Amino acid sequence: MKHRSTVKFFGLMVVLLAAGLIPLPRRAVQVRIGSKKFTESVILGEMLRLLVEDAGLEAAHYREFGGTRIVFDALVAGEIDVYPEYTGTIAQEIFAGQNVPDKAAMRALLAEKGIGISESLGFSNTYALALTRKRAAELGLARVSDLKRLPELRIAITHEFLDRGDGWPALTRHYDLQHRNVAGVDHDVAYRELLAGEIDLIDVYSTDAMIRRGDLVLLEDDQNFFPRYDAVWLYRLATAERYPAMLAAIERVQGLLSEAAMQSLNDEVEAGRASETQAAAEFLNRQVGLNVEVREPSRTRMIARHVIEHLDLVRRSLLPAIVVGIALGIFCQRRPRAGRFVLPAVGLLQTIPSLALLVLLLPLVAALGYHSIGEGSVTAVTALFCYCLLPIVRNTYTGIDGIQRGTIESATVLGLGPMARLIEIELPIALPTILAGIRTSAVQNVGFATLGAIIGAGGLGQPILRGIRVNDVSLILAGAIPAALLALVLQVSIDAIEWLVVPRGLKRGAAVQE
Amino acid sequence: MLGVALGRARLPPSRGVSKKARLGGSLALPVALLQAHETQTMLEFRGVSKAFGGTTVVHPLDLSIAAGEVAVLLGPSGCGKTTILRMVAGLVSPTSGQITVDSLPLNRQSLAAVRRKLGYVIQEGGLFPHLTAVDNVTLMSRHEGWPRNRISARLDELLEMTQFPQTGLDRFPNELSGGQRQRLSLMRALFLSPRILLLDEPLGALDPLIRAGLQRDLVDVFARTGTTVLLVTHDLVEAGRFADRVFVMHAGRIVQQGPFAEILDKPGNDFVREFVNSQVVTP
Repeated sequence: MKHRSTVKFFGLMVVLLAAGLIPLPRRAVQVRIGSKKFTESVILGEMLRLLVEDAGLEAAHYREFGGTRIVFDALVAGEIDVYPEYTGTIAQEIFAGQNVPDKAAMRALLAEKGIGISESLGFSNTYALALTRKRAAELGLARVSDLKRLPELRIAITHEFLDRGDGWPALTRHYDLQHRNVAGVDHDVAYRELLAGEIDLIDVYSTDAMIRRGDLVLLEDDQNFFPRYDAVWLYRLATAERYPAMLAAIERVQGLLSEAAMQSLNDEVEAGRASETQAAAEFLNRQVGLNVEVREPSRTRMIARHVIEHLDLVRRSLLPAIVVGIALGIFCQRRPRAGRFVLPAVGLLQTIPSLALLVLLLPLVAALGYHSIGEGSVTAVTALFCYCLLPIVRNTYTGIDGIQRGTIESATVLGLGPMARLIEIELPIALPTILAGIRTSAVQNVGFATLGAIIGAGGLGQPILRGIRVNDVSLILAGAIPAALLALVLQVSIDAIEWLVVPRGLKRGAAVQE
Repeated sequence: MLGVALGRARLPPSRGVSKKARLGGSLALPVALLQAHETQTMLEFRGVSKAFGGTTVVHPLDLSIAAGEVAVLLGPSGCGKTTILRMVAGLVSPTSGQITVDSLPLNRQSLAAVRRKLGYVIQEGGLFPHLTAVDNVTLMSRHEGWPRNRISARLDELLEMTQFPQTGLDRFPNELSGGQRQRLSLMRALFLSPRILLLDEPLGALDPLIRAGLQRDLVDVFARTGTTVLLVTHDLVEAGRFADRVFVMHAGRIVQQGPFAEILDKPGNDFVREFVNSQVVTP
């Protein structure tokens, strides 16, 4: 009897931890391809996947990474083998602050990091400033330098362009602009606001499908601010050596894609006429003589897959967080002095913006030799784990700390030692509070887990990201509704567990008979 | 020595008889052995004081309580009486001096052994809200690995003694009345046959009728178990009902001690007189 509860408690903790740490089996992949979260990048990624598979290699494409930093770090860390990039971005952002006079210098700098660079794919996708044809005519705008006249213009700039070295701040210095109404928005949202007339001017990629569809005009870069953004492949030299077929696959599309061709591929996808895979396959079948037939999985199948990925992210972050959270909560209560640092520290974790947390964690996770991106990404799981901790730690702490002093002292004088008291008295009494913390964490976690998509971990965030990108509301809902249902199911399950395990004596509303 | 051995093994019934006999003033069982046992000191304070921060709550105190004696610490709130009780229970440690429980000096090493000799009941009962009545009472015996039949025998014995209703055993504390909760708490404290029962305002939260009933039953329990009792109260009537000896406390000091009648008849100072008068109903 003396040790049965202790064994049960630690047994449960070990089981939870094990259930959270065991990864799902992963597909063996020889070439891992990445892409950024805009349509063109995803189409190019699919193109390369089809080519690499055509060369007889096992390939996987992790789509829609959060941004240049994440995808480039993943490449350097060896988490992916190849992804499409633009020379301007390499020179201005990846090697920001370093002098990159020409392609030879760029090649040398990349080689230092073990990265190779291909020849141009054939098109340049430069940044440009765009507005609707109607508004441009009203305002008489044609060149970037014309903007000086209109400091009150409502401008929406994508976050990335706003932040990067070659972006908005440098542009305003170059052209001496003084605009105040500048908001940072998401690329796809910016288009929608522009067409709705909410804003006047946005930044675009010159191959964006929306330029044609939305009938936008690009302002002429009359003082030559924007560098060239030739599309190229960045790949790991080590992978190229191991699989020469990958390099051969890359070379098959070199120089074949014109700006017009790329723009029409983008348009096809964003207008919903084809998936990225279909657009890529059609192009390859036509231009390179490939013979691939693309069968898109049904919507149900696609959602089912994402639900499984999503649950996997939740399982692997929530279960360890329950164990660690309860342990930390107990620690904070037992050592109040240390707890005064631990609790705020755990709280601070929650305030780190998700993208920043992922970028911070990625190289760390990769350096530790864990699988940092793609399905089952340890980076995503670790970030979610961090976000899960606070409610569990806090509720464990307050649950134990709030027990009446008389109850604890009675247990002490009865002769229960600290461990027996914790397991027989304190944890059971704190159980409803702890479960409430777990419930909060679980529900939050289902929402946060949609973030997994930005580092290729899949989950229900993937259809949401894709839906936003191609402006497909049904796709957004296909991700959001199952996520909401999942949160609901988790909540109800935890309610059921509570109903089963919390003794009547701790439930409110129990009758007192005098 | 023999007394100690007896105390563990089968004291409760036999000692109970002797105690009752003694209270009755008769010489029904004049067993020398038991007499010797009863004059043994069960609880002793030598220069025990307690200060919290710079405030002295208990001034150096010398006191010894005999085995089987019912001692009542009486005084207004804040006089230090609860602190004395809590020092015995090892919940606070004295600033100076030495407490000895049943010949064991109380210190860090002996704490667990001392607590095995104690039963502890507080005003709110201190019951475990997540356990049923029966689980509350038997927790420690199960922890100690008692066989089931021994547990149920002891349970029956205490049910009868404390007048706790059999039907309440499967209820949770929040499903019991205040009086039942205190009977339960008493049962839990008595389960492992403690040498000393520490009671901190055990009836303080009950309404008068229920309190009176419990007082009667408690007197009976004290008599039957023969346990040494240290009871803290601010209630004069309660002190009168239970005490072999009353210790009146004021501002961290014992200002008068003796049988209850003596406290009433010959208050030692103005404070005692005022304290007594404030609680005596005069027509």
